[in-house]
Amino acid sequence: MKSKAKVVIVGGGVVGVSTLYHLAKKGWSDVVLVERKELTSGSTWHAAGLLPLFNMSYSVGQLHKYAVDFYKTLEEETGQNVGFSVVSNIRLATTQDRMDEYYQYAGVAKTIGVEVKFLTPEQVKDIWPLCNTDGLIGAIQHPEDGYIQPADLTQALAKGARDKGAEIYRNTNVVGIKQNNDETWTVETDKGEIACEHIVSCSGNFARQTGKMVGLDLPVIPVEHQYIVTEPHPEIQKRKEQGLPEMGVLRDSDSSWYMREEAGGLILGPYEKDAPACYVDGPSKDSEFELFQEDLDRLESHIESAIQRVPIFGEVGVKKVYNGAICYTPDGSPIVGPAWGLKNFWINEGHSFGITAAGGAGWQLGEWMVDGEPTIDMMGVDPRRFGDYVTKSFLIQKNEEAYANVFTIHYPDEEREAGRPLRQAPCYDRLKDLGAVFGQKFGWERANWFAPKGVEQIDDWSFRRSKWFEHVGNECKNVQENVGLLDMTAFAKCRISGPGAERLLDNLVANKLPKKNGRVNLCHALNKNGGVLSEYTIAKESNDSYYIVSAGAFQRLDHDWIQQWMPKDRSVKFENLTNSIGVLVLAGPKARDLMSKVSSADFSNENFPWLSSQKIDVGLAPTIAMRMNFVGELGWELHHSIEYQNHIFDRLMEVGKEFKLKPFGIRAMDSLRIEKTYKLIGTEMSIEYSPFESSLDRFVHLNKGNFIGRDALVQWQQKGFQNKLVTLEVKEVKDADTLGNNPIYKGDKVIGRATGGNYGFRVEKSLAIGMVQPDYAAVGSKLTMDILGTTYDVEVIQDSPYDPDNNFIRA
Amino acid sequence: MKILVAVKRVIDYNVQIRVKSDSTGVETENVKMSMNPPDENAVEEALRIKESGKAEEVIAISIGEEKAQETIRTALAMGADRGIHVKATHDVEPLAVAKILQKIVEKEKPQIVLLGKQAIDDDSNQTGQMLSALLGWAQGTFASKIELEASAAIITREIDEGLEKVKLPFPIVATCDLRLNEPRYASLPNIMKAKKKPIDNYTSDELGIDVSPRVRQLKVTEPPKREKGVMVADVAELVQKLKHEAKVI
Repeated sequence: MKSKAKVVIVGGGVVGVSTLYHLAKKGWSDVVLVERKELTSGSTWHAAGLLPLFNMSYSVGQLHKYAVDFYKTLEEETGQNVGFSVVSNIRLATTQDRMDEYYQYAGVAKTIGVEVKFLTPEQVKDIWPLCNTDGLIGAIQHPEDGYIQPADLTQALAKGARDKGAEIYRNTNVVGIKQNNDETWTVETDKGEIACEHIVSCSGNFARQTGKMVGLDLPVIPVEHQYIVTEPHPEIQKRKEQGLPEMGVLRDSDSSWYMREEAGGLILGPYEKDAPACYVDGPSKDSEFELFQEDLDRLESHIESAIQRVPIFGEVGVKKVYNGAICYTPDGSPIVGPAWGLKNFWINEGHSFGITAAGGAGWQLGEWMVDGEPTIDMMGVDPRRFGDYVTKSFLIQKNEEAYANVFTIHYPDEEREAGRPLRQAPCYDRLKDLGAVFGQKFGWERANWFAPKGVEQIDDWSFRRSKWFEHVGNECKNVQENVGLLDMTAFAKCRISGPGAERLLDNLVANKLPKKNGRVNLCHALNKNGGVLSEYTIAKESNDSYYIVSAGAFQRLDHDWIQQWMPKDRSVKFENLTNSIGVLVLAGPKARDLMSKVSSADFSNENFPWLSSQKIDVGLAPTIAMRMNFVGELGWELHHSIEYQNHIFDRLMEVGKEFKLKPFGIRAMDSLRIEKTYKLIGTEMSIEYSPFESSLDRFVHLNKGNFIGRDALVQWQQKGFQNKLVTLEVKEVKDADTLGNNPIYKGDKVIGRATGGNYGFRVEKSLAIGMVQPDYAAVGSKLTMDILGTTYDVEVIQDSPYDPDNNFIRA
Repeated sequence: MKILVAVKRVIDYNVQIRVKSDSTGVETENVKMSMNPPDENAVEEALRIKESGKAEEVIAISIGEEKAQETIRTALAMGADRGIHVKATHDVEPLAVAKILQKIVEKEKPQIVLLGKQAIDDDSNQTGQMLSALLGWAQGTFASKIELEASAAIITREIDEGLEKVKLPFPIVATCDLRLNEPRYASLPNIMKAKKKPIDNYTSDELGIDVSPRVRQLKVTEPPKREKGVMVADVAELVQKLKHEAKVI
């Protein structure tokens, strides 16, 4: 065993071995993997080996696509058969909402280059003659996917990695991990120590135990998953004798199970409710190739529906029931990327579709570690998308829920119930009394919309305009005509101060920092490749002190990024203010009149211009008012110490009656921001796009001096950009607005994708924001776009269709 | 004719057995359990006898904790007609098991009692023999073939010298070898139906049997780990090592 290596990977499941392979392939040959028992002995060995390309997430979808393409090349490269059966997979639909989900998904697939076919029930019958098609209204098929032998895949990856110089130490137990003073690492094993620069945690069911060794509370707890293997059935054996192809993987989404052929019989894998979390305190240290007691009672309704759908499934005996642990995270996607707060500690954990994701996760982690940045937007799998609010008890509830929802319809406005309410702003109960229907973001309860009197305070999810559409429209109208109040306490907030603060921040963002005390600038942090990593609102509080606000969902990510760049000389102090400061946003033409009545301050344009901030009082409470908002109206964000929130809230609501003040929610905000072509991180802005492509030109000052990503951005600019952000009017929409990830066409050619969309209640148009090839980005450009399977004419219009000259925000 | 089949819940044969850290036994927490494999042969044989028209009812019995019911359900899913569960909170030794079975035999009056030849967890290989003695019935152990005549069973036994055929007049106790038959897999509809089949419950107290252990267990330890092999250069070295290090020649 080596005593020194560049990288030590902890864990020899398919994910760890793929990471090892990809690092070696990127040229880091001095990489080793330690496995406590044998390769695959955790969860890989009992995985059903399915390779579903289907995924609603743009990030995860790209990882899966890479894997499926990559696995097909692996045998040629390594000489090891990986048992890839390209048998296709069919997902059935029995409801219109399910078909809508497939249409929405097909858009994602189209934009990342995955082939999807729509099938009629008759076509399903042709491919799967043993399937009863009663009740089906349609299906989709992925011709390119199928299943693989997980252990063979792992061995092939291991061979490929070893061929490139990597080493694997089996039966080697990691007993401790130490960070040295020079920030390198020492991995202590029962066979000796290995000094290394990087560590990658790929320990699957042991994720939390590995994390604990370095003080990380990883958001991973496995859930039990069972699948049933039958003995051979004469009908399937007859098909084999006749030389007919395998019928492929069948997924009855509405009954929540998958089925495929296995050795002349069938495999059924249901995703049931009430599957328990397992290994809550980690597996036993001797655990190896372990299965749990089967519990078929839990699966009864799925078994019944499977027998109804595929009658031969009930005609043969059950050979074996596998009940094994599969890792989960609260949102069901893995965590792949750097650990927060630690240098060169990487995470590739929480894989519930590990066989499918291993290829892509290893690939992107390799890019990230070797080149410093991933090449696709990894926001959807970034380990920092969760925060301290994720406790063990929260994980158990959320992960069990994520498991139960694998096959449920993934509505764009879905809000799941487990683990709620958790983080509540002080005004939570007041909002609830006012009719708020909440969602959860980063643990925070946020009002999505408000049910007026007489309307049930219950959400209504759909891919189309649903029950809340009308009420959200009224919220928007009230913001336009009167004044609205929005709780944004969930914002991430921090203060950066000290003699080195200005230098640190100036290097972090592409915009110039606000010069004068009390000024506020919108600034963007780029990654090292020049893509947009984050958006910060930076207010200069005093010399050497800045107050920074960013999206609530990215608190850990943003704060980790800032802290990574902090100088070691203690010239900069970082304070996380997220939980101590509340934010209420007041917006609308009557905002000034209202503010003037609840505060002793002067809110005139002369005294309080756009993009400035002041310490004021609201009622009796001290408040920082910042003149800005995300909805395009006259308004102020009121940042206050959290204990004053209800005082401020009550004053505003009481005095606001006269001005028809009403609360509004996140869904109204999204409609209002689309009308202003305001961009969001993760959709319009991402590391896959330069700030120029995202139309952030006025926030980028290439000549201000060096900043992170500047040189890469200049190079990128010289090479030329592939995308341009545009605002689109979608013509003749009846009941379904753009949800994002819709393919945009010129003729038959895909020339872009929508990043977001909504109905603009103020401009009374269905709008979308999209990224298109620059040739098609001119105002007036006539294109088409797919929404839920229907093609719409779209036209590029001027950005900010509502108040393009910003007269209202500066009023 | 009724057939009583005794089935035991044991750690699944695929599971790597782990000894508890306090040496009081083996780890059963979160461990997959199954029906003792030779007991599956016993159930299968009983079902085949019934299916051939020579028996009317197959009753599966298990003795043990609450979850022993799952093992009875497995037998019911395979095709047994009903179950009997005798609850016990700790391991029951073969003699007590045999005494319990005796009581049930007296109640149910079967003509054939089938058991596995031994359980894969404690490897006792005693219960069938003890039961036969307690009942005063004929016994055929390690059965690899069972043929029924009008008033007797011809049982083929696998013994060291070869195959032995014995003729046992009813009623009989037989213990089953793995080569007796190939147990069937239960289909899912039968697994579901098994949930509705009746299981009678007893406790050892109700049957008047003292199940307290007669054997004191001192310690459970793992067998010594196999040492790593060494490569030898030639035959001479091999002989030398076998003689002086291994001391086997």
